[in-house]
Amino acid sequence: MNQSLALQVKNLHKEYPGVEVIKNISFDVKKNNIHAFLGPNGAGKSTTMRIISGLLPASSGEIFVNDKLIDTNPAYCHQNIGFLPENLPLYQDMSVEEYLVFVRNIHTIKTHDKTIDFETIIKRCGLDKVRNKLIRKLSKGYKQRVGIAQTLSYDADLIILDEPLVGLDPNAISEIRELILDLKERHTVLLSTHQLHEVDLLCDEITIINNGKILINAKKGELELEKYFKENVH
Amino acid sequence: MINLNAISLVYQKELKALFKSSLIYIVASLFCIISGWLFYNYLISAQEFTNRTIDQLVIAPLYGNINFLFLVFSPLLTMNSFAEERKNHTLDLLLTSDLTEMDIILGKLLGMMTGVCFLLLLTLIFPITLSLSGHGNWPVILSNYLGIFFCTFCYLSVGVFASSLTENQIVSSLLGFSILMAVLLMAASGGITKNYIVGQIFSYLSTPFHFEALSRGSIRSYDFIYFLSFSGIFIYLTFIKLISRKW
Ligand SMILES: Nc1ncnc2c1ncn2[C@@H]1O[C@H](COP(=O)(O)OP(=O)(O)O)[C@@H](O)[C@H]1O
Ligand SMILES: [Mg+2]
Repeated sequence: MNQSLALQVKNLHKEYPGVEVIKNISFDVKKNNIHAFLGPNGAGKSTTMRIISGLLPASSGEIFVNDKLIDTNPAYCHQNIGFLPENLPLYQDMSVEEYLVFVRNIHTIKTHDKTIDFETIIKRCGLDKVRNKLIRKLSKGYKQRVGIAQTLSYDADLIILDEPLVGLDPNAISEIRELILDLKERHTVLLSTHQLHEVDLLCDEITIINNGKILINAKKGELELEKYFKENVH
Repeated sequence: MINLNAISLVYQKELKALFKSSLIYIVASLFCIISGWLFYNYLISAQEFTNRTIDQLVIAPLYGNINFLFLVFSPLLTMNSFAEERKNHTLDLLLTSDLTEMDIILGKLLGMMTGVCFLLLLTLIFPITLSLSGHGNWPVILSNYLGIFFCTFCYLSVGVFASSLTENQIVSSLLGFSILMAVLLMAASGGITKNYIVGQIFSYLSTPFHFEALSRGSIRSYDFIYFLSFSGIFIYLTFIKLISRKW
C-alpha cells in the first residue's frame, strides 16, 4: 500500500508473436504530479499506455491504479483513468458538447455520477466558443483540446495523454501546455513524448524508455536530459 | 450481463448518426423507387390472370422482392458500423468505458433495425392501397412484414460482423454481401442435390426457405428459432472478434 502513488507498474512485460515490445519495466507515478514518459519512436510508450488503460492485455506483470490491481477491477479503471490515445478518438459528426456528454455518459453508467461540472471543463479547455460546432470543422489544435476535455469529462483521477503535443503549431502547443499544467491541481498526469524540451517545461518526474526497457527514473532537474539522451539512447 | 441503460446510450448515438447521414435517405429513395415500380408492375400484370388471387400475384412476389432488396441494402447500412469506429479510433473510446462489447454490438444492431423499420413504414403504402380497393389480406401481409423483419435482422448481424473485420467500408460491404449470397445460394444447392436429406439440410440453412413459409402466412416456431440462432451466431462472432484483442 502506498497512498501517495497514483500508478504503479510492476515487471510489465509484453510480447507479440516473436517480438518483445516491453521488457519487464517497472515505474511509479506520484499523485498530483505530471510524469513524462519519454522515449524515441517505437520505444514502447503507446503500448504501455494502452495496457494501463485496459485496451491491450499484458503478457505478464502487474499494474495498480490507486492501489487497485487493474486486472481484477476493470470497472474501477474505466471510471478513474482518462485516456487520450495517440490518434484522437473523435466522432466527427457530433458537436463538441454532444461528444463530451456522450463520453461522460458511457463512463458513468455504473456510478450514475452526473454531477461533473461541465462548464468548468469547457472553459478550462478553452472550448466555450466552439461548443456547438461540429468536431470535423475544428482545427487540429481545437480537436486536441476536445481530446483532452474528453479525458476530464468524468472526473478521472489519472489522466493518460499519448503524445498530446504532436503535430500542433507553436501557439497551440503553448496553450495545450498551459492546460496540462493546470490539470495538476486535481489530477495526476502521465504523458508520453519524444520532445526533450517539453519535458523541462511541463513535468515533475521523468521516466525514460528505450527499446522496451526503462533507462532511468528521475526528478526534474536531477538529470541533464540532452546529454543523457545523446549518450544512452540510440 | 445485458445492461439496457448502456445499450440505449449506444443505440441513441447510432440512431442520431444514421439519420444525420445521407446514406439512409439515399437508400430510402432507391428503395421507394424500386419497390414502387415493382408494385405497379405486379398490379398491372395481375389483370391478365383471373384464376389466381392478389395474394399470389402481388403480395407474395412484392414482399419476396422487398426482402431481397433488404439483403442488398443491409451491407450498405452496416458497412460503417465498426469500420468507421476503427477508422476514427473511437472504438478505443468505447472499449475503455463502462460499455461491454455486447452493449456496443446490440446498440448498433438495434439502431440499424430502427432504420429498417423506417424503410418498412414507407412500404405500408402498398397494402393500404390494396385494402382500399378491397384486396387487403392483412394476416398474410403482417406475416410478410414479420418475415422481412426477422430476415433483415439476420442480414444486419452478418453486415455488422463483416464491418468488425475491417477498416474499409467497401471491403466490409462486399464481404457482408458475399456471406449473404452464399447463404442464399444454399437454397439453390438444396434444390439441385439428389440426396433428399442433404437437400433438406441445405434448404433449412438458407434464409429464403424460412421466409417463404411466412410469406404464405404460415407461422412456424422453428423458423423463428432459425432466425434467432442465425443472427445469434453472427452476433457472437462479432463479439469474439471484438474481445480477440485481449488474446
Ligand atoms: N500489433 C503489433 N505487433 C507487433 N509489433 C507491434 C505491434 N504494435 C506495436 N508493435 C511494435 O512495438 C514497438 C513499440 O511501439 P509503440 O508502443 O507504438 O512505440 P512508441 O509509442 O513509443 O512510439 C514498435 O517497435 C512496434 O513496431
Ligand atoms: Mg506512440
